[in-house]
Parts: sequence; structure tokens; C-alpha cells
Amino acid sequence: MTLIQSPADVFAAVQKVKAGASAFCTNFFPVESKLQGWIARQELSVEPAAGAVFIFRNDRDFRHLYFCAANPGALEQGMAALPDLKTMRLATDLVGKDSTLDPLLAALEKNGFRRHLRLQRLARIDRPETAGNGPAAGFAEKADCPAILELIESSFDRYGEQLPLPYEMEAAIAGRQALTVKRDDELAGMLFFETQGKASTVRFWAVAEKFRARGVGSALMHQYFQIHAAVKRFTLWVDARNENAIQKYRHYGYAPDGLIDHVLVNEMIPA
Amino acid sequence: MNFTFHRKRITGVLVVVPENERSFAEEMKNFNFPEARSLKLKEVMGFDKRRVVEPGVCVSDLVVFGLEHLFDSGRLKRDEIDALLLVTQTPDHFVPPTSNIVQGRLRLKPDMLCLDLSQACAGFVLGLMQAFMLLDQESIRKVVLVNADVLSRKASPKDRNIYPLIGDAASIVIVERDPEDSVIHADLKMDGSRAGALTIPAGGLRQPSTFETAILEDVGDNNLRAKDHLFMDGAAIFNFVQTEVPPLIEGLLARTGVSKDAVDYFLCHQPNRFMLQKLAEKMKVPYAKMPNSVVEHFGNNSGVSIPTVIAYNLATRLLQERVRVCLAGFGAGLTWSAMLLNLGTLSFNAIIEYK
Amino acid sequence: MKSVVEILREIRPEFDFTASSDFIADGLLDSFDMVTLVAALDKNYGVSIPGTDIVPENFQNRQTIETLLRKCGAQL
Repeated sequence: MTLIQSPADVFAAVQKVKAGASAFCTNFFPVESKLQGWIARQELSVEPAAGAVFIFRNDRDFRHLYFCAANPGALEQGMAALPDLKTMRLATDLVGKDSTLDPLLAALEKNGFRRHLRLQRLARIDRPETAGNGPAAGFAEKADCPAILELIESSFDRYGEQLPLPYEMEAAIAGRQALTVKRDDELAGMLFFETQGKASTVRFWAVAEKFRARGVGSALMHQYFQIHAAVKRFTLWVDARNENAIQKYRHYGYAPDGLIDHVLVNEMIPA
Repeated sequence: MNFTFHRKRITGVLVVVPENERSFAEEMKNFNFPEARSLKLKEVMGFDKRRVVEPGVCVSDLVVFGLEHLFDSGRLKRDEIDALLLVTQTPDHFVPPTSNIVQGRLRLKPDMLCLDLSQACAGFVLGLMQAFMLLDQESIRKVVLVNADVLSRKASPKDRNIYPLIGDAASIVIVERDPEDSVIHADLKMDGSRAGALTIPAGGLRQPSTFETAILEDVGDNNLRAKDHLFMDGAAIFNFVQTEVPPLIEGLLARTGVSKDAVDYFLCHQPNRFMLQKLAEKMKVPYAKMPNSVVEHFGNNSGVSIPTVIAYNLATRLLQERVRVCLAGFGAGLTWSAMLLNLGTLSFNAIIEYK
Repeated sequence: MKSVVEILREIRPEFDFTASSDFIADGLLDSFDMVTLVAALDKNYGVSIPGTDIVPENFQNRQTIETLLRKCGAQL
């Protein structure tokens, strides 16, 4: 496994597999701005195989596994030859419409991965009026970072939900991408979003347990929609089993749009 | 639909453009459009300068100015005008026809036909067809075909996709019988089911103008437009032109047994440079044969665009030579039309400025 | 020869096209940009994208653009 030093290395490795591939498959769709950060922090490594390449990204106590393969067969074989499968905790994502992912799911499951989480993408199709008479939500400050991270880590699955690392959260706060509601200097709830052009996505929306049912969540959503009045497309990912969350999002006009994200983990991650 | 005309010809072309010139890059600054993007669009679409009328100036003003110029320079006599065909979609009034208004202002003779034709971008070809048909009447020896529009007055200043592209102008084209045994062929199609792609929704009787129809609405993509304003579904129109126009022209050439190489110029309506280059590429016609430089100097000036190409790109050539051209007009209706004819020699072929 | 993403970046440098799977719905490309993009792609890849293929569906994301380019004979 080699540490990746530049974006060019990444693209070269991917191109090599793509060239002449019969049924190229991949789950690696790096967002350029984030890619730079991962490489700068030496979080990205690469491991080539025959007809495939595997990319690892460091996270808390595990790594994300990305692959590019000439076809599902090459994926399966390449993976079988990976020594890291037995030594590292790995989580991987497969995003698509349900049925198209079957060959890739099979390849992963044959190599000791099991389904861990299923996320659903929701898109906002309705625009119901939101109530603006709750507690005020404001932009997060740098000092809020630890509390926000704690809330996110305790509310969401770390293997499946792409939790931000401290430096990412700090950058998001500095970029005014996080809203908070505070009660007596304590963090009651937060909403972390990403917006570009006319599209915005909610990364995380959570209310601390002791502050629930007090309008904190709706205050955050209301403020989120207020500052995004010009946005045309709202999306977000939610754990498909979390009926509670899905119901809440439906209340704001969101509905599933058919895109699914299967999160799989290997045997090194305990059930 | 096929048309054949015998012994008809164009004998003079005059285009009247307002003196007032606007710059695309300057205007786009009002839309928070960075200069770098404006420059790219200038290169690709040809958006640079356009001519627009001062507030209050109407079609009859431009036309009267042009005709007086022709009278004063001895190119045309008042009493020679047997028919005045005025093609416009921005008339002075609903009633009376603008051609009658022009007749009245210029004190033209009562023994003449004044006819308004409601057409825009396809209006030159359609107007020519009507002019040719009129000349079959013994009493009609000279038709003055006018195309004129002041669409800048109907474009929303807050609609970035339309406002900076529109040009105003009028053209006066003299059409007469041809002593030579010439034949002109044309082909035309219409599709009213797609009429919604190019409209001014309010102001007619279906939706009369009220204070509400003047209210600017956010129509998506950050453009503001009222129901009283011109609406163009850019993507739909682009696709319509690319799909329908090449087969129409190719069909016309095939029917008449004329090869593309035998046509000296393809003179098309000029919406923007990109559209015309793509048409040329599709039809495998060299760019030089399909001039596309009207937009960058005058804007998209509706039915006047083809006369503008004639007067701008072929200014002196047509005074001395005869060339074989294929005209193509396409736009509101939806309408698309093509005409194969010889052009030249003309007794005048000029562009003048309305002051 | 530039990549599709590089060309997109030149047209709208303020956006990260790798973070979107629907450029038009996400407001990263408008109708003017599409035309500028086609002209740039034609030039960069030495192709002539037919006017009838200039429809939003073909410019949704990098994958659809690359599919269109391959159809026009571009070497990617």
C-alpha cells in the first residue's frame, strides 16, 4: 500500500484500470475540494491489483475502501488478493438504484463483507411553510466544534454516515455551513449542510436527547430553508431504518428519490 | 408545403437600424455576469453590439424614415407603390394595421393594397412569398415588402437570456416582376402545437394586459419576466432549428436538383453565431457560405435579419453580380421556411441609421 | 488535451463539478454555459457535437458528457 502524494497519482491509477475495461465499475467519485484535503493530510493510500485498484481513506478507527475495477470479476479477484482485508477494519459504499448494485454486492460479500447499513436519498419535492416562532438558530462558532462533533458521533453511525473529522468540521464552521441552537450555553442541536449553485444537502441534523420535543429541530430546519430561499434542489441521505427521521423529513417536503447507498463492512468490524 | 414562383425578383434592399448601440459586456454587468464569461459568449454566440430604439419609437417610425430616404434619394416614387406589405409582431396598434398608418403618414395613394402580416423571424421568407403572389395581379407591379420589429420594447430588462440579444430594425425590400423567365422555389412548414416556445403571453385578447401582467415573476434560473414580456424557450427553439431546418433545406435542394455547391450563400435568420455554425456543420456547408455576423453588430433583429445579412455581408457584391442563394427563415409559429432564388443585381443594398 | 472537469472548471471556476451529479438541476451550468461548454469540447477534442445532441440530458454530469463525446468519436 502506497501513500498518495498528489491528485495526479489518483487519476493515473484510475485511468489505468479504465483503459480497455469491459464493464468498468467503481464506487470512487472523489469531490475535488475534499480530495485535496485528504491527500494533504496523508489520509489516502493506494493498492493496485490485476484489473483493479483499491484506494483507502483513513477515518477514526477504520478505513474507507474505494475500488475501480475493469469488471465485477476483476473486483472480486482483486479483493481476494488484498492482504489488508484480514488486517484492517474496512467500510465501503455502493451507491445506485437498488438492482444495478447486485453484481458488486455479490463480489464484496464473497470477500467477507456484510451489509451494515442502507441509506436512502431524499429529495425535497414540496415546500411546506416552516414555523419561525421557535428558538433562534444561528451560525456555529469555532468553539462549538467539539460539542458538535460529540453530538454527531453519538447520533450517527460512524462506518456508514461519513462523519466529519475535526479538521473538516472546523472548516465547515469557518465556511458558515453549520447552524446551532444553544440553551444556556449548551449545544441543544445542530444542522450541518453543504450548498453549491442551486443545490443543497443536509449532512447532519441532530438534537441532543435532553433538548428534544422543544422545537429545536424545527428551528434549525426553518433557518436552513430561510437562508437557502434561492436553492432549487434539496437532498439528503438518511438511514433507511430510521422511520422517525424519515417521517420528520417528510414533514418538510422530502421524499425518497430512488437512490440507495449500501454500506458494507468487513469481518474486522465486529457486528 | 411547396411553392413555385415565376418571373419575380428583388430589386432593392434597405435596412434601417436605430442609431442607439448597446454593448453586451456592459449590459451583462447589470446581471452580475463576470466579464470573462461575457467575453466567452461573445466569442461563441457572437454577442457584442446591438441596436435598440429609444423609448417610444415604433415600427411605423422606422419604416417612414426608410421610405422617405428612398423617396429623397430618387430610389422610389410614392405613386409606384402598389402594395405595402408590413411584416411585424410589434405593430403600432392592434387597429388599424401599421401598413395603413405608414400609408397615411406618407400620403401614399388610395389605389394600393396595405397588408399587415403577423410573423417575426420567419417573416422575410413568408413576406416574399406573399409579395410574389401579389405580383401575379396585373394591377400590382411593385410591392414594398417591409419587415420591422421593435422587440426590445417587449423584452424584460431583467431577463438575461433574452434582453441583451434583441435588436430592433426595419427593412424595405422592393419586389417586382422579372422580365427574365426565372423560377423561385420555396418550402414551408408550420407547427402550431409548439407555438408556446416563442410568445408574448399577455396583451392580446386571450390574456389582456393588466397591472398584474406587468408584474415581474421569477421564472427560474434567476430571470424575471412579466406576462407582457417576450418569452423564448431557448433550448426548445435551438433543438427545433437544428432538427427541422437542415432537412427542409436539403429537401428543397433535392426537389429542385440543385446541389449545395451550386448555392453561393445560405442566408439564414440570425439568432446567434453558434446556432448557425452548428447548422453549417450539420449540412456540411463551409462557414463562409453561411454568414453569421449579423448578431454581433445588430443583435437578433427578428424578420429583418435576412435583409440585414444581404445588406451587410453582400453590400457591394449584389450591386454588380447575381448570386444564387438559399434563404432560411425560422421562428414564431413555429414556422420554418426555405427559398431558393437568384439575388442581384440590386439597384440599392444599404444599411442606414434611424436618428 | 484537457479533461472534461478542467473544461467545466474554466467555464464556471466558482463551482466544484465533482461534487454534483446533475449540473443543470444543481444550477452549476445554465443555458449560456452549455453553449460555451460545447464550443470548448468541440475545440478540445476535435469533434463537432451535433446541434441535435445539445440537450440537457447529455450534460447532466461528467459521465453523460463523456458518453456523448465518445459517440462523437472523441478519444477520452
